[in-house]
Amino acid sequence: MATQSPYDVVIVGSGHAGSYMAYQLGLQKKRVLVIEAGPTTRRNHEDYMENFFLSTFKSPESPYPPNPNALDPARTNAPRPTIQALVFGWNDPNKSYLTYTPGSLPFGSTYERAAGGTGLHWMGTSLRMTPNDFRLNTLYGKGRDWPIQYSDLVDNYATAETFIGVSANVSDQVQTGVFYPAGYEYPMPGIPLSFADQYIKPRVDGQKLTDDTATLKTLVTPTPAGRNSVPYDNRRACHGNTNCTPICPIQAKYDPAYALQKALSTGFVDVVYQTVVHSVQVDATTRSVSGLSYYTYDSISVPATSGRTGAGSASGRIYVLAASAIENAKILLNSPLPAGGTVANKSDQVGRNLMDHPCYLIWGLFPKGQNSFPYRGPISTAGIETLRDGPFRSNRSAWRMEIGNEGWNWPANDPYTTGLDWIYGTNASQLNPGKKIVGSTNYVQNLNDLLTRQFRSAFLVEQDAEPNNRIQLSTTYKDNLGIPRPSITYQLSEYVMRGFVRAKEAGSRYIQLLGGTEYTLTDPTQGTTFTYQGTAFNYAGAGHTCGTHVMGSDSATSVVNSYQQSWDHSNLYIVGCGSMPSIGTQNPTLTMVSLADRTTKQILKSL
Amino acid sequence: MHVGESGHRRRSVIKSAGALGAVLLAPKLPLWSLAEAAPSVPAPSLFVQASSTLLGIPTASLKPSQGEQDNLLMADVFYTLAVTAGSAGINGMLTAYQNLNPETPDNIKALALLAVDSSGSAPRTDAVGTFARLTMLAWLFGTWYGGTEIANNSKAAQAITNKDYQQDFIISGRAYKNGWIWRIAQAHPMGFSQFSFGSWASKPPTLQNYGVTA
Repeated sequence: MATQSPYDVVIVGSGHAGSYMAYQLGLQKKRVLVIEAGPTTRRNHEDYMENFFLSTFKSPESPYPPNPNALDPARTNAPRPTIQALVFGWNDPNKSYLTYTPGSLPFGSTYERAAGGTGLHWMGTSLRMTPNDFRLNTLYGKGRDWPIQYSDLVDNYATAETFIGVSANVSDQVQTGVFYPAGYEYPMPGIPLSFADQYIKPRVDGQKLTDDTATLKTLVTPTPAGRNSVPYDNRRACHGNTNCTPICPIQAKYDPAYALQKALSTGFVDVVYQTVVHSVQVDATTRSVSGLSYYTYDSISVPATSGRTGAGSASGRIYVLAASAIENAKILLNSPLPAGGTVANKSDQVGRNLMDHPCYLIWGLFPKGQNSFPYRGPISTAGIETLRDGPFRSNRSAWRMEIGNEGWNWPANDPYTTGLDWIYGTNASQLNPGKKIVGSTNYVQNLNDLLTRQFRSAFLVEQDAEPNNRIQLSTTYKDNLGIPRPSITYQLSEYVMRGFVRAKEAGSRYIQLLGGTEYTLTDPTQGTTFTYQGTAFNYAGAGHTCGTHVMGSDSATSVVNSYQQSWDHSNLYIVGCGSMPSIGTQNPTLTMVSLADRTTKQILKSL
Repeated sequence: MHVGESGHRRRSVIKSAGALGAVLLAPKLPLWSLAEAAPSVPAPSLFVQASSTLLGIPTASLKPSQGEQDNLLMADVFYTLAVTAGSAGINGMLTAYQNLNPETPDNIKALALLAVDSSGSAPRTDAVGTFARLTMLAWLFGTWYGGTEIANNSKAAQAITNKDYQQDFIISGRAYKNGWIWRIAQAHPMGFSQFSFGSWASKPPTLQNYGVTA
């Protein structure tokens, strides 16, 4: 296979970053090999849709192989974290692929190991970072700075927005603290605000949500989305299936499988599937990477019906790890150097600074007589972005507020929970406090009234980079191929917890402004719980795993430079959200693709 | 009634789908959807009437007279499931329904099948209650809630005589997409919208648009 015909670039992973880079390099007639740990792209989109429809536990992983309901990571060839494992046994290594050091909190986010990567179930939110997000430490004394500024990334943002196909209006987005080159326009017009957004906006705009953001102007703004508002790039316009995560049934939302298909169509890109890179080989003399060692496998069953079917090494001139933040770190930590230490880790920062957006969820009902009419449209069409930067960041972490369109589906698994409550006379949803059973038109009237008034919002709380939040290799637990599994140490800092306190304050004021009734509930039995100053909070993962191979301007304190190039090995690039030294408050995919674009251009200069 | 035959056919389809599934479907995908393709027992009108009473949705909406609208005709599927899960239970429920005073308002009739008394404060735990709920839930969610029913009512394990049906499963993709709960919410099943770009910015169709007069 690949080893017989050296490639210009060997890329590990076919997610957002890897597929994008493969395509751009292939366009420039560079020979590229993509090595994907998981199975190939769908034969037919309907296969994935049917998986989703038939899942009683509908999670981000539901549509995708291997079967997320079968939890047996030790006997799975390329296992991944799942919501199922988080719920049914996050701290049980027999169920959870991620293992934990004693005292760790559960890491709330999951990722995919399949062609297209976690981007298969991204929601499409395509906000840019704010300029101050790049200077968190300089401005506020928290977390880490980037080695580049917003202005360095402006052109890459534009390229990524064109490639992904982002729908937004500049006139809306300039209100959110970002700037654009003169005359800039997004490739498609913005997505219309939902019925609920239109009710919320005039009641919340200009209102104070927290005491420490009183000088900022609260604004509900449409959210830029990698989702078509008109036919674009041979894909349809969104029809509002309210299913962006885990899967858009009509493929109106961009996902990396498109980039991978485009990459293959250049004729310069090859891809191999079910091939798991487990370590990086380095030439002892030149310190350049000389190859990537991998195992192959056939079985994607859980448990697997067979293990390794082969082993080998892939070689090229340049190597790119784009396997996700946790898998990138895992590969590097599993790559010992002859002289001691591990690959790309002179700084001892590989695996450290693990970040996510722990989310604070609020939910409630609109007042009687006022419908929100949820369970329609994209999962989110608006948010509050104007409170995400200010002097308060010296004291507590920032957040953005995402306004949901899917009722209580996220916080309460509705319409199922309420639907069953009124049949069994239970009150799991809190919407049947009298625990009444009703049928017939009484059922219809009750459920119609309740379901059509539901709303929720999520605060994506910025997590500051902390070296002790890290992934290491488990010394005990391996996957079915014999590769060590991740061992996670994860805590939330006081800075983050203070962010949650302000989110709670803002959430309650927000619901008051809407004239609504709040039903936000903390379930202390969940693993994803912390207590701060006597108050218990649940946090939810956002799927935004960042910061395990952070970039910086100093090789002593960072893993890669601003081009995501290893300080230690010049022909090794480690790309993706793991390079981000601060996560900001926005969903990170657009920034990841923008960084991948910047890195691709740098690689092309060297080829 | 050909209950036994139906059950046998269904299992046969599951068995044959094992080989087919390896080709068509992702590994470990539940095979209920293929099973649904099995020839089903035609639902008697009594089943549709009882469903209508339980759900508060007219029979004409549950089972449109236009035969060509086969994507909407779930009655035969749900009835087949129910008789396969426990023929005595579904028959008992229908008999109990038939014995209700026809002059009784539907809300009271439904409660008589679902709850121990008219206060609606506790679920009826016999087979009538079990199959009333399972019927209602199949229409609402496209899901067979055998496991949930037993978790809420341990006596249900006696009524659901077919152990394959003592668990929860989505009946089929078609059943999911036709779940009435989404229409009651004036919405659409997540992942299956019949609406167009921008529709979410406006009011949705009314219940009356779906033939529901509640």
